[in-house]
Amino acid sequence: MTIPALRTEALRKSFNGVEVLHGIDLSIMPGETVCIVGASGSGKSTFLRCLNWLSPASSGHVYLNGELIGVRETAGGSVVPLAHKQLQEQRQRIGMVFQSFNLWPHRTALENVMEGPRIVLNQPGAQARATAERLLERVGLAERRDFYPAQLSGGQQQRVAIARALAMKPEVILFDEPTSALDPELVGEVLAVMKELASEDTTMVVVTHEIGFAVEVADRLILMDGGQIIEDAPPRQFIEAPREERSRRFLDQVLSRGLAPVHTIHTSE
Amino acid sequence: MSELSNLLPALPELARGFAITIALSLCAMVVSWVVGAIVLVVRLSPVAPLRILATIFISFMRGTPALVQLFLIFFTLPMIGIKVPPFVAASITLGLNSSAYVAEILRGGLGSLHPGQAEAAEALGMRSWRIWTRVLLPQAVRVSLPSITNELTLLVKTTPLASVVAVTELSFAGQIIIARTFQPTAVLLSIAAAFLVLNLILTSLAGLLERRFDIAGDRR
Ligand SMILES: Nc1ncnc2c1ncn2[C@@H]1O[C@H](COP(=O)(O)OP(=O)(O)OP(=O)(O)O)[C@@H](O)[C@H]1O
Ligand SMILES: [Mg+2]
Repeated sequence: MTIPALRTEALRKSFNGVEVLHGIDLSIMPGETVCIVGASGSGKSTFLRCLNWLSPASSGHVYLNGELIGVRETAGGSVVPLAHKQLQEQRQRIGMVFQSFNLWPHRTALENVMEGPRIVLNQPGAQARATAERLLERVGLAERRDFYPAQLSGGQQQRVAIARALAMKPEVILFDEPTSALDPELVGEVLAVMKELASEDTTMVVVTHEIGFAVEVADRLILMDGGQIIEDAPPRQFIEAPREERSRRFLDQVLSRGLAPVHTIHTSE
Repeated sequence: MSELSNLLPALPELARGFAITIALSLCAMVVSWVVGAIVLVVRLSPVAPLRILATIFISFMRGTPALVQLFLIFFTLPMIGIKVPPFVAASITLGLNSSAYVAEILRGGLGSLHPGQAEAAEALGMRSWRIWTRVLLPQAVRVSLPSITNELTLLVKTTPLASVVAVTELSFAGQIIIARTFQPTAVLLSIAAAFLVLNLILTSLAGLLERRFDIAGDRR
């Protein structure tokens, strides 16, 4: 039996006494692409941020390839927060791509991608540079490596951000609405990169509103509502025969807006 | 003309005073930057007592006269067995005084950064001190460079204060020469010109830096 790449167990999260995640159990197997959809405020981002402990869970557990994240069990059986150093070592193994890219504006595309290997993993400069150059090429931005983020389009920035996450060779990559901040004509180039990653069996958790992408690329499609997982099924099954009434309503809403297919788009300039 | 020729022998003296002024400014600036950055980080630390300590430091430095601070360091420290040479006492005082302002300016700059900047580094597994030195401080400095430059020109103009503990910086050297030659106008104009040149160099260096940052295409 393989262990899940990522697993949550009765994960709960409260902000100022208000619970927004109500006990989430989820297993993601190595190589799986899981897409999470749901209405605004349903807790998708909060859930994703609990997975790498950017937002520590109020109770429950997260396991990365079997290892408890963010906390450790003492000999007495109680659970205490990990020291920051250990937490940061765990985070090196979980990539994250943000809606607002969050590239560092004072560094070039290449420097942004090199930063993790060089500063976090302490790789020699030449090695970090080689890795970064290869990854920028992979996301179709080899020519733009010396550009600063402000000189790149949103789609290009997000592709640099994906390369930055990949540079750490993470065991899982989390995407929080990676295309929501993009002009419609730039969405495709980012989705194409993600689609390629998925086809290479990268373990991915993707919060997205791009239902077409989810249907085409995801191994499992998950609907969240009110801080809970409502439906968790292969996308075809989810669309054609959802078990829950709420899933049906969600689909009606989304599909009435039209289901745009994802084209394979050239990522080169 | 003959009056001015009286001043010629005093030129090396003025030049030495100017050199001391430059050295004092540079030393104080280093103290100001380093301590300013540290105070900023402590001021924003998650540990409440540290935060309070930094806040007290900042309000003391900004709320009391630099002259009193200088006397405190120069006369009070020897009483507890720490003897501080005048030049060092002046560098430290001017630097500490300015560091409080630098810390507050940087804090303002930091506030203008998107929270995602630190978060991206955090998610990558970067250690806190690295996040400060690689992500936050460089950007805070960049955003607040004009205000910091302004603060540093003020610092340069405060260096004559060191004369009260007998550091022969430019203005003190000038007073000595005036007492000997009775040529106040010429001497004072030379001193003013020297300070002006120093600050013009400072602001143009800062301008160069700013332009370099601009090439980096900052949107903020
Ligand atoms: N830092 C916070 N402090 C207080 N409440 C928060 C915080 N972050 C999220 N919440 C609340 O938690 C709930 C879930 O928010 P979350 O951002 O996870 O939703 P989401 O599904 O990602 O929505 P969206 O599609 O708009 O991004 C919301 O009610 C939100 O107001
Ligand atoms: Mg969200």
